[in-house]
Amino acid sequence: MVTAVLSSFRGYDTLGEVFVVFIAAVGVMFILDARRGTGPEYDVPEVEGLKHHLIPRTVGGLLIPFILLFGFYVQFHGEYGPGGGFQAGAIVATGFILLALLEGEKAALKAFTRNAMTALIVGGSSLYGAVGVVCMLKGGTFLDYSVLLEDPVLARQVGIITIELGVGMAVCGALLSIFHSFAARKPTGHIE
Amino acid sequence: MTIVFGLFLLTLLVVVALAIVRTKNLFVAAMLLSIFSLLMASNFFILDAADVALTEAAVGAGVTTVIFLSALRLTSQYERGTLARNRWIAIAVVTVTTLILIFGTFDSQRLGDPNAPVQLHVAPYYIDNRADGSLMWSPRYLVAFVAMTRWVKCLWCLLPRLG
Repeated sequence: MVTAVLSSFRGYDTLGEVFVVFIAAVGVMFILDARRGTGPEYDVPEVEGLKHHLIPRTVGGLLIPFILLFGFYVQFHGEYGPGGGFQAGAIVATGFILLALLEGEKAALKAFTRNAMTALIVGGSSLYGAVGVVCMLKGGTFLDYSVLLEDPVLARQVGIITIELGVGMAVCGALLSIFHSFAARKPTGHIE
Repeated sequence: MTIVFGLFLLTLLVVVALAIVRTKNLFVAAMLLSIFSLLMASNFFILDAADVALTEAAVGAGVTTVIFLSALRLTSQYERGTLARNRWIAIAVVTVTTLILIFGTFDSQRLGDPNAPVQLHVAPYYIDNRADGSLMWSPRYLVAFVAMTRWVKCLWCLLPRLG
């Protein structure tokens, strides 16, 4: 219900929020990654993660599939229960962050490359905007889903599910790339 | 009973917020912010805003804490002492803002008030238009309706009186 309201009645609002997330991710990447050199300071540390702690590693590894499954459940069940793209994107991102914490930065970046994250951010935001433009091309107003298909009810459902997918992709990619921007830097602090 | 629990959560929120402001240890502050988010999520949940609660728990208590910790790895653990020069201006701004916010709550609707704008404008539109099938119909609407009518007691209107 809330997802339906957010996507139809407040469609422009949600589009703006997606772009805010997009700009935030670009900003963090700009500040932390812009001057990425090749010196030793910028090398990803070799020994990382919880490789030497067997119990957290095993239990965490078992948890990751369930976190991802829950994320997808929240994504695709958004119109019936609490949930939707924003929450689902965050939950899926949490699963991959857990992977990065357990197996180290390199393994996580191998499983989910930086290019994939950027593609998710750009693709998700564009998917949302593209749905609106397609609505306009079909003769409706921007983000008026009912013109998408013959049957207006089905068209609304398809439109809302598509833009929620776009929101989920953008949020997931943005959160992951923000996390990796921080995690890829060599630590300078002294945490006791 | 729910009101007592709500007041308990709100009191804890204030305590945690004061602790966040007071502490110089950034690691402790990050942990307390996570606890703050969790309390906030419980608060949203007992106000029947399950969606907002889910977002707060996933983003506020989950992802932001990890991002704070990874940012903390790049800096030192302790906050440097702040300059006390502008303290009185800061206190004045905070006091004025608080008073304006409290003044604003006098005009806000009672929780679950059937005459609140949200009940008169958006909700009827979705209720009326679901019958002809032009909008997405969701079984969760029933849950929301039952929850709304049950919530005649006001939690938020108690706040100004506490202050």
